[in-house]
Amino acid sequence: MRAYIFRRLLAMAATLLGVSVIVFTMMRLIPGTVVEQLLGQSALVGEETIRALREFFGLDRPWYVQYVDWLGGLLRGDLGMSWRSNRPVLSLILSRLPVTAELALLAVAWSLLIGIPMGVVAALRRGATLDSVIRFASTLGLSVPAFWQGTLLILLFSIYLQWMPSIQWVSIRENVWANLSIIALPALTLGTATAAMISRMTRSTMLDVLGCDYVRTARAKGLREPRVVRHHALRNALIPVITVAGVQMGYILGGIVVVEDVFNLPGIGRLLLDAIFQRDYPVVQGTILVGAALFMGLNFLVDLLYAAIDPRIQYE
Amino acid sequence: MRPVSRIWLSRLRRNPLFAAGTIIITTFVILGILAPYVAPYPPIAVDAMKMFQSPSRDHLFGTDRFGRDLLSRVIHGVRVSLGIAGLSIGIATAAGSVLGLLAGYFERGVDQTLGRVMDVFFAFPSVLLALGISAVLGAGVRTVVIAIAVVYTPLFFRVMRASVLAEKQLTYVEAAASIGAGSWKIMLRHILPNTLSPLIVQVAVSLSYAILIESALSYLGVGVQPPTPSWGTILNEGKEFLPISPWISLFPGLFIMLSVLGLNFVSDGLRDYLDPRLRT
Amino acid sequence: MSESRHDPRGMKRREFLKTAGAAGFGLAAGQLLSPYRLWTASAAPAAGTPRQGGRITFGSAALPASIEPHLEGADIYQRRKFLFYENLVWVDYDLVPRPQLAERWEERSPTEYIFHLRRGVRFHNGKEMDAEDVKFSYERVMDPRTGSGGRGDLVMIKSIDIIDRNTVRFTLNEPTATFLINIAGKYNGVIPKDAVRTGRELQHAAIGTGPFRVRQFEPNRLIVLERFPEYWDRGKPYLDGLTFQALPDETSLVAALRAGQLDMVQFESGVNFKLVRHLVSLNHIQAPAIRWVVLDLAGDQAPTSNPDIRRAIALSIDREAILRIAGDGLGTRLGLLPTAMAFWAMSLDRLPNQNRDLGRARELIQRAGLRPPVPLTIRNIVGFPSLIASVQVIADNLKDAGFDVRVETVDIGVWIRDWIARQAPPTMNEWGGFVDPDQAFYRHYHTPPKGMDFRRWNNAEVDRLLDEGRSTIDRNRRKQIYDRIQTMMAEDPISIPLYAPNSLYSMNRKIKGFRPYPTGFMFGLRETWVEG
Repeated sequence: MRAYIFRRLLAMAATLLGVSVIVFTMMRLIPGTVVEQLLGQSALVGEETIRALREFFGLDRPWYVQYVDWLGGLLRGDLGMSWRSNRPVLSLILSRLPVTAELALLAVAWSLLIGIPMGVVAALRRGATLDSVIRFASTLGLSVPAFWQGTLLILLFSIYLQWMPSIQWVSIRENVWANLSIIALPALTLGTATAAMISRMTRSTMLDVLGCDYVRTARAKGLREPRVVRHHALRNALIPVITVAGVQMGYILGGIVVVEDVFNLPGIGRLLLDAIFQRDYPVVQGTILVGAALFMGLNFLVDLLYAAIDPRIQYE
Repeated sequence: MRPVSRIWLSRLRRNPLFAAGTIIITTFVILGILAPYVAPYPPIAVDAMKMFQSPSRDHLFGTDRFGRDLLSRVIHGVRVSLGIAGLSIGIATAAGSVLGLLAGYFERGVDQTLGRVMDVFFAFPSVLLALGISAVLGAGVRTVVIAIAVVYTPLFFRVMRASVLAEKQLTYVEAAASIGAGSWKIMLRHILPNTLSPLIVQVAVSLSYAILIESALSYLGVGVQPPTPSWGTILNEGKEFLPISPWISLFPGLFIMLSVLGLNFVSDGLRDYLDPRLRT
Repeated sequence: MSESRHDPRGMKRREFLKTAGAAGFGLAAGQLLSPYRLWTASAAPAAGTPRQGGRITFGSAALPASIEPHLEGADIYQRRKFLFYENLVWVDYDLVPRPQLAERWEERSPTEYIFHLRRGVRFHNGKEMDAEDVKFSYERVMDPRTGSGGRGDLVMIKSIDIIDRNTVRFTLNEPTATFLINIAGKYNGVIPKDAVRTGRELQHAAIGTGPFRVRQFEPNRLIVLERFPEYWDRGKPYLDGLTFQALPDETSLVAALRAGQLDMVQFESGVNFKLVRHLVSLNHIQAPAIRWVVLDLAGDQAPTSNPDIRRAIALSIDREAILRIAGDGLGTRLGLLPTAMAFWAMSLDRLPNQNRDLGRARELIQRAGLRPPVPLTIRNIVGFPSLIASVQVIADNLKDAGFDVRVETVDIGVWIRDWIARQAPPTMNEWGGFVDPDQAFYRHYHTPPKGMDFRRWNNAEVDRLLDEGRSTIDRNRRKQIYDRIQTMMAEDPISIPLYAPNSLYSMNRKIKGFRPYPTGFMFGLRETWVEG
């Protein structure tokens, strides 16, 4: 097990190195740099000024020097400085992290809360109308684009019902109610597709498990159905669901960008979009890198968790 | 191995959702092909006298800020949105399959190298990767196609590689090799055809995600650009007018949802049939 | 001025939407008021005695990523910048230079200006401003190594000399009519000499002499200003604090304003302004702005290298429709300069090729020897809503005359690369922020090396007139010169201005004294106060 963890970590580091190369290269391939953004549309300056600004931002150095420089910083835990605001990228990300983390956690929480019971019920009522309804609903949930769902919720709540949460971010420590009123709809939107996915997965693993010998044995012993479901079936059915939740983190991390845009949340997704539009390379690089690292890290954790609860799985 | 069309027909009769999905997708494809004939108005004809009309008999879906008929724009949007999804997944399937086939067949060095590269791409949450690519290439149809293709190539690579590895264990491949068939011949004649079913399911699922990614990019303003009417672009244009003309945001979203739903029904149906472990 | 007729809270939601839709969009075209009436109307809330104190939260769609005084070129920054940075002079609401950090100035000769600095002006860090700071600040902008976009505005300065602690002499290379206006320009601002070491300190912290100082700045999201108690203009500003809050989605600006979470809002999109301007609980100001949407042609690329084709394009475009659709009817048409530059702008009826005439356009295409459909590529820049909206109307307009328009959308990086290299194809642009026709025309139309002639017009006569306009000091004589230039530009439309959007503000009724400034700069917040 220890060897496995070590190997995985090593592979992750290698992959992250690859990610850093790709992110860095992508940013350097963009036509136009922060210099053009800074000058803006009204700036009609000569080549000389542009050269001076390129020098100012270190863009005149060969790209590999810039990369090595950046990588060196990364290894020291320094993601560089934002070109536009001259703040450390890491502190920009950390200042937005609470918003994004809360959004993601709430989204996962509610998708598990809704998805698992729906899946279990559908499996127990296999073939009945309720099953069909749940299956249809979960396929529908998978099919609704998050930004459209968000738009509909805004239309309903803020335009028709005139429900207006605070426009300034309020953290959960400052005021729980104000915080929840800001983040409830975004989390709902972000979690919908995941809830649908989990419900589908739970249903199919439940069906597998319910057909297994040990469940039949349990029933044959005369145990009552709820007990069979809770103690024997559900526990085993949920193991693969955890994997799905892990894979879904990728979806959620991507969805965060869209949902934060729709609901105007000052999270990391917003930071990334702004930075892309402003060609603030260090911020874009840092944010995507952190996103990829989080994604890989979560998947790794899920794998470990999987091993911890399913004794059949042994990592060599 | 039965031809795909036969499988489809047999499933249609047995699975109503699969049938519904097939009907939705077929309708959309026909709509897309016939768009210029079916749409009541040209999709980019501006009429300052008809700005922001709510849905009516003349304009079933209403009009936008340019007085353009939304129904016509959404119908032309089928072409753009499904076209982009089809093209990008087509490219991803081709590229991913070829690479997966090579990796799975030759293993060792080839597999190691390709696998590492694909892992790197896999490490990006898909929307983030697509966002990055579209920032590099500049907004537009071509960019969106490339972005989605790059995002999905690693997936097809993995699917293909896994099924090739599985097929290789089987006796008939060994038999073919033992009678001296060359590696290319074995790959194309024997292995490739038998990897098709997982691939088909994957294509159907990926198409639905491709539609979602395209619309998300366009909605964020980094995808398809106006006046080209993709569903995401129309939604982006409608964002500003939500309080006064919500219909601009309503209908294209509905079409995105319907097409994705149709594809999901189809892929569920196929999976049930082709992957019996999950049969319901 | 309140434009409101109904209180929507007394109505059912759907009725409100219907009313807003009908009133807002049906009557839009007829509702256009003359800009001069709007001007007087907009000064109305100033009535009453200003009161000290109070805070305002001001919402808008975007805020800048940096607050660097000499580098940051974003319009959204420059509008707010002069609340904390100041110059020797400022250009007042009638576009005339007035004393600011200089108490007065002497024009010893057409190339020599002596500025007498105001005494006792303090920077936000407590340091007293002196001649050294002034010399340092303007020289920093002039230095090509700084990379300031404002360098081009100061090229006429030969040297800056310190006469004594409170006196500075500017020597010019040649007499320049716009010298005073240019040193008040948007890229300038006096900073303390010792404030800059690496050159990056001022990206997120400001040390100016303005009426407010920056207490908190979160890139793209938030700027919190507080009253600078040692401001040299005693008694001002009236507000204790001013918070700028960004909300990228303008529909939420409307909601936040109605919910009382914002006190004042500036709208980029007319649609949302129309939604709120019916609320009597708010005051609304729309003012003509020096900003316009334009289709720029390419003088050296077929088919727009042919003047007949340029005229045909100008005659095909329905500018009324563009104003109504892309500008939401909240703006004014313009000839070559916007009506907000009232003294300089020539009115439409004195200029040729201003109205749609498809018959004439088709004739001109024929005369040019081209057979429809004539292919024409128009470039558009990603992320500018008014340009995206305008180009779509133009494409449809031009189709009627026999052009086959392809819209090519590019990133701003591609735009600036080609634009500076003088290779841009016909392009949708938005220009503004100028307070003098020399700023608007010289660099744009004068051939290199003195100008950039971005559209490759190559017009020797215009070159000559532009030089004359620059070195002529008498305002009325300059007016004649620029009238001549405007006429020539209309006769051979190498650049086709489409409309000038108004600046749109809504605020709660307690806010008094705000006055819109022609370039959209928020000078007015210096005199804004909150009713008790």
